[in-house]
Amino acid sequence: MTTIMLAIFAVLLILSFPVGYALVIAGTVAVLAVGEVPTTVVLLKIFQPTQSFPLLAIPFFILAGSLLMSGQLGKQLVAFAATLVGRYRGGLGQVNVLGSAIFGGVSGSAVADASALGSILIPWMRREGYPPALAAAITASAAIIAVLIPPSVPMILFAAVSNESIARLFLAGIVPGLALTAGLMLACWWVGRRKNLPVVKVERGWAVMGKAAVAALPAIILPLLILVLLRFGVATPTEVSVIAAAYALLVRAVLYRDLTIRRFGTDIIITAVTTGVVMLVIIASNLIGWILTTEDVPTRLADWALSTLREPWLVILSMNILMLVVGMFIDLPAAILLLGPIFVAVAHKIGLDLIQLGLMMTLNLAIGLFTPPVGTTLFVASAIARQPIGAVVAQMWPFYLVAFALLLAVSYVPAFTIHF
Amino acid sequence: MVAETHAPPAGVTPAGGLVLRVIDGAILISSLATALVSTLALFVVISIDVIVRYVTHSSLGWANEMPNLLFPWMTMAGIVIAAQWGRHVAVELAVRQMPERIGRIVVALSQIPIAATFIYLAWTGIEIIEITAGELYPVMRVPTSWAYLSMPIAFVLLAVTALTTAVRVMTQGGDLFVVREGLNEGEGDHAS
Repeated sequence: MTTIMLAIFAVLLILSFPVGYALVIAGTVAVLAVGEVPTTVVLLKIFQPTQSFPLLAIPFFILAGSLLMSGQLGKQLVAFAATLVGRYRGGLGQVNVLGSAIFGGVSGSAVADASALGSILIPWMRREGYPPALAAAITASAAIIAVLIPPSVPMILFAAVSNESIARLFLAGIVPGLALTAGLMLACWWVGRRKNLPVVKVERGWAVMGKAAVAALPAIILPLLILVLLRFGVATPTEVSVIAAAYALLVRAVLYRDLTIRRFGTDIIITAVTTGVVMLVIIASNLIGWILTTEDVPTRLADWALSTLREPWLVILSMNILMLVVGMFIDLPAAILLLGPIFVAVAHKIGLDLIQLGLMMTLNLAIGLFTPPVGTTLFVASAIARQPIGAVVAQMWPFYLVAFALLLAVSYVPAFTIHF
Repeated sequence: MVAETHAPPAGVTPAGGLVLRVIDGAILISSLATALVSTLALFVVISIDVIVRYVTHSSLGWANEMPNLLFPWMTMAGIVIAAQWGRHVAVELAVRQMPERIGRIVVALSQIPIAATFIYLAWTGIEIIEITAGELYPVMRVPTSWAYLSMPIAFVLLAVTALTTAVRVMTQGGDLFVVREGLNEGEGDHAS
């Protein structure tokens, strides 16, 4: 079944079938063609993920992010970041990175981050004299901090395929997330000095900073709340996601009073559609994963990888290279779900910690979000800046460098993804 | 709501354009309503369950079971809306390299296997509904087939959407991957 399935999937993907559809068709045809199992199994496998309580965390983290960021809070957050780092070289770039880190604590999605922060910061950076392609490059790369700092949709997906704990993955993401933030801010500073980028004039002083901090406080509290609830096991990740959404609703309705019924309805619909997009890939991958497992493919591939490559470091390197190639073409959620079961089997063989694997996969495939030819944050940021993809990528190399250095650290230094 | 703002597709007779708009409009409005109701209900039910659990240290049985019933409907409605708005992620690279006319034909023809697969799956789904009609959720005393029912319905709507997409790709101008209006760029894609 596996061979038929992979062949069909590859052909359909090239013909521009949506990834989820391609997976459903490939899986269904493979089951039908071999005829060993009843076709009702296809339906049961497709249905199974909709019965998963942990996956319900995805829509509510999306709702929380969407609710918080569609109002004034997004602007307050940028203003707060500007009072902190705006006055340094490449300051607005650093504001963008820092904003992504704080936003990442609210939303679990890099694409949401790129579109929310990009629409505020790219026009601003442009006005201050940043080349628009550079503004887009900073936005597209900084956005991936959102999937490292909890909450994170890709980590929930990895938890689903690996049976690891969502809470432990989230907590392990903090250090790499902050390291990426620091690294990218440094890169912005360096680019700012080299290109002699303007320094923004922001009001300074403790009073100004304090005021901005208070205004942005609701966005800063949420990630801390999420971490505390998860760290001390007060609530399950799904419950935490619902609490986060309720908190966001309260902040918008009571504190900022800028939430209309219509806007709330739009946020709910955005949540349902986004959930639909990711769930189509999840249910299809569940079918594909089941076919692969019945034919023992993950274990056999793991055995093969170990006997040909022998050294664990070489296996890890090969996994990373494979992911970088796959990530260039396939979107992050699909890549995690498809490669996850195979890599988990490999990790068991070479004694790689699953949390470390999860972080490695999330970061590596998130890099695919801002690499050409297919990269979602790259597309979103380029579209906002109205710049061709090529021009944006040409500005990107300092940020690639930082991301790859971090990927190496996460892949080979277990202490980096230490979990409490 | 969104469907009413469509201009009639160029190249189709007014009557043909109307039929397309009515079909897509009906699919969209029914799935938007389903998505709205199921998402809100999930939000409320889980919130109540969390509150009750921390106040009384015991869980409400029905609130535990409701997500099993609601999440499939929310998922399936979201998948259909995403199909209507062209939000499902595809790798458009190869087709973008083709001459425009060929690209249109490829995308239109590709809707046929999509529609065929989903019709077949909907058909199989009816079998599952017959099997599960006798299985009850222990607390709610509701047959589990109520949850499974979301699948064949969504699959039929996905099949029809594939067919209207094929017609739109062949008869409308503009970008061949954007044949309908949806939300703003990026707004429906927060999963990665």
